[in-house]
Amino acid sequence: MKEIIRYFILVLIGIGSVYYVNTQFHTSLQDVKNQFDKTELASLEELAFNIERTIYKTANNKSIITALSQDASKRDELERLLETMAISKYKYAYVVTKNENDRLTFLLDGALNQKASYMEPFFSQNKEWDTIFKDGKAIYFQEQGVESVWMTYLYPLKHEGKIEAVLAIDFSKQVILETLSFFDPLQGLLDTILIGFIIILLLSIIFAIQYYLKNKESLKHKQEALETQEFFKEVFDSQSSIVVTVQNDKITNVNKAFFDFFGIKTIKEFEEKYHSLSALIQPIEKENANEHSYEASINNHIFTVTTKDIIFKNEPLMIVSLSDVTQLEKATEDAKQANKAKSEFLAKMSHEIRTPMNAIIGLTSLMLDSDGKEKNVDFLQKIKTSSHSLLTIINEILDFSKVEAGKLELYNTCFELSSLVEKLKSMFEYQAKEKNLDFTILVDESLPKCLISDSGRLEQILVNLIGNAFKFTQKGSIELLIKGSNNPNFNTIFIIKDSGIGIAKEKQNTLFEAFVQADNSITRKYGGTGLGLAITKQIISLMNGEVELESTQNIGTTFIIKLNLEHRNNCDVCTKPIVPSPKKQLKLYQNISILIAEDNALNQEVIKGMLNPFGFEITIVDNGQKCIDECKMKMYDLILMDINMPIMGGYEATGKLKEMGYKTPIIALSANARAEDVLKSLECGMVDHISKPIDKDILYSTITKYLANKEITIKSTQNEGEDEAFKFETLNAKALLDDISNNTTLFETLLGRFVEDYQDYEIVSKKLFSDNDEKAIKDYFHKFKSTSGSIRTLKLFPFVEEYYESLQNGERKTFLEEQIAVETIKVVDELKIFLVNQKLKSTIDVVDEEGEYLLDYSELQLALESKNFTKIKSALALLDGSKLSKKEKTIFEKVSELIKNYKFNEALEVIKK
Amino acid sequence: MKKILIVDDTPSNIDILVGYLGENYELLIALDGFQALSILENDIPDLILLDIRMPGMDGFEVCKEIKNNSSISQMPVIF
Repeated sequence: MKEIIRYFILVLIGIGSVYYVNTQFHTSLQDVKNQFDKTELASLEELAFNIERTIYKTANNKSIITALSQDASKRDELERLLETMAISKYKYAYVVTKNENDRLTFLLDGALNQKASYMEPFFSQNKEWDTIFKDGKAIYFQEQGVESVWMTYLYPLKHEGKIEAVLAIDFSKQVILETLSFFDPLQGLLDTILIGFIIILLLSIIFAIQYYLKNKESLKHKQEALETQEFFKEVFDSQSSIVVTVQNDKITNVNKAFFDFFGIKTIKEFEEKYHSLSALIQPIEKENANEHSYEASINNHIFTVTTKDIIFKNEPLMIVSLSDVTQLEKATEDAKQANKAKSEFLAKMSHEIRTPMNAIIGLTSLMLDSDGKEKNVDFLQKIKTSSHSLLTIINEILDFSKVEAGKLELYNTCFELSSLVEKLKSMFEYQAKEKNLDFTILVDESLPKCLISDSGRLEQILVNLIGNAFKFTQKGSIELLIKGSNNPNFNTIFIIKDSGIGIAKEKQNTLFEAFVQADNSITRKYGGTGLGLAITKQIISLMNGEVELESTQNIGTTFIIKLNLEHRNNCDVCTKPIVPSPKKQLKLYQNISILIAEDNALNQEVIKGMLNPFGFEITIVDNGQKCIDECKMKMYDLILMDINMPIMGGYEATGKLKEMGYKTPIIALSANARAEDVLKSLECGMVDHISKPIDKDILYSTITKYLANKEITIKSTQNEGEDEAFKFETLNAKALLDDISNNTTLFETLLGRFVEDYQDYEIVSKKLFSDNDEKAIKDYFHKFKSTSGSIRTLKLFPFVEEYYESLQNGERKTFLEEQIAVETIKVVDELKIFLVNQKLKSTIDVVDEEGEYLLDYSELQLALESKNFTKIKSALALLDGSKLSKKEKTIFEKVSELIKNYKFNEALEVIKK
Repeated sequence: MKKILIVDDTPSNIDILVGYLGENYELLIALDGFQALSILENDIPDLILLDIRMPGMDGFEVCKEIKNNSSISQMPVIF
């Protein structure tokens, strides 16, 4: 509509301007006419004047009427003259006179004299010439014809001051018509209208184009606006937060997240379902809530609600934004949990560290305070145990921090599976016996002899898991199964299965996390840092392996470790054969005899001390001659030969032995360490050279080298199964069985007798030493040497032997007394366990010589019930355990042991039985 | 002789206390909180040395029980 109005206004303006221009143009045409009049009239006047003069000259200044009427020739002459003079186009000149009747007469007629007809009315109206030509001046008049306009210039011809005729000159008809057409108002109007139409048409076209362009522009604008809207909608919808706009408590707009969260498609649906938004987004903590930002719980999700009031189109509008922080809350909660676990871990750790620390400090200060040696061994034992548990804790923490820092690295080596198995077996055998658990290791025969892996770390994993199994198993069995697998990812599987307390389902997931134990009360009951499994898991991951767990509470737990290890059947191919540590390796050898030729007593001690831990059979001679004599009697596995000795030196002795064809490797021991000394040793037939002072590690590794060269068999597990029951830590059962031709009954009898004889060693020896009867002591240890030797004790025998020798020499080595005591207890304990395990009560009864002798436990029982340690101690002191039967003695010892550990209730139970 | 009740789950800790106190005091020994409370039913020591971290029932719980029992609530407890 507006457009149309504008269009009309424009058209009107256009027409108006055309009209104005037209009128302007009209005015200027008038000017042109005036201009024309002026020039035309001037030329007409001049023409007329010339004609007058010519006429009157021709008429000899007489009246022309007279002259012309008298002389016809003159008249023709004048007519020709007029024609000639009025030659210019469209101009006709003629002379008009009046006759007596006032009728017009053409005196000289140019071309047409019929003109009188239209001139007559003019002259009849103005009868007198004088009135027509005022002051005698010329005039012109015009006459409108049907088709044209005539203009005539009238010039009075005077003779003697009196107008006698009129010279008339007609204008050109065309010129006048041309001129006059400009003055035609109708034509002007028509022109205006025509031009107006053209203008209107043009304007219309322009307008149409303009309108089109404008429309196009607005369309583009509209398109752009739509796109912008779409863009903002997209942005709006892409927000993960829910955004709602509320106007007058009504939801006006929401984004996609809104619909997604509430699971609806329209706002109406929401209103039907929830009625009001504001009720839904009430703050959780009403008291401290900030009006514009607070937390609200909607459909079990926690949201941060942010509201903002704005003015939109003069109306207040509230924008509500809801960010789902449930995940964030959860993460925060998890972080808090982790932090809590860490704090708990620290508290636990401090307790774990303090407990052994406390024992170490307390017990040592007690020992320092007491003058007597009473209980010292027990205390030392406890200190040692505490130190070890402290060390374990520290190692775990160090390992864990290595894992955390990503600094745990694997060092793959080739190692024999059997040696790993052997090691684990010896490590846990004692615990198994002590807790009366069956501990078995089964190795799948399909597995190769050697594996390539980080044997140390692999061992750590297994020790940790088996250790845990022992910790949490009170009865039943623990089993380690190692087998191959066809799984392309894991070719070696280790399964550790126990019949322990198990792990609750809900605890199984977090079990491998650091600082977590299945139950916090576990720590109090079983101790431990809670790092072991985290470390284990990390190491397994480092090995690209997996660990799985199956567990049922009170039935047992099974850990399954899947690894992919390189298998080797021939260990020789291994680029770096595993010698975990020569010391560990040496412990694996049994029945090794070593001859040491060394004259210096101190050096003898040193070497012997260094070799003591391995239970080798060691013979010492102090010169070369004795060495040869000894070798004639026995084939030793190794000889350590000093170079400088009295009577016969090392080189000479070696030469002689080689001459004899004695093949045992001989290792030189010498203070000379120069290259030529080494060379000389080798030249004379020795295999190696160890320089003095002797470095323990060099000694071990050198010995290991030559023992290995001699292919001394390492105990392998597979064929050792049947001897399981006859495996001892403290004695070489195999050798003993060999000695007695595998007579197991005799074997048990021998051991039983030893237990009987030496279970009171502590008391007996104390008395012996306090009595200080040299002969009695000598006799006792003489017998002890042979008994401990005959049952092939590994450590005890060398101690006793050495001690006895020192007594013989009159230089009593008191430092051995303590060692003998400790070792004796160990042997007796192990034998006892063995004997009980073999259920050899009857055998014990057979050797029982004293008969039944029952103790009166009533006093002790009362004391135990009161838990009064002072009373318990005195009641126990009253009981004499020395004359008891085997059976009774076992009971008594058990009770004493329990009391020693303050387990009064258990002691009571034993007594009641 | 004055009586002292020692409550601790770690035998080596008891060893130490026995070492220091055994000569001059009559000692009652409990390895956990339950044992301690059962001892207190029959016996009235002059002092209790109470470990805090113990399995089953910790030192605080034991102490709370003691303080709730009017007949022994006056007994001095040292943690």
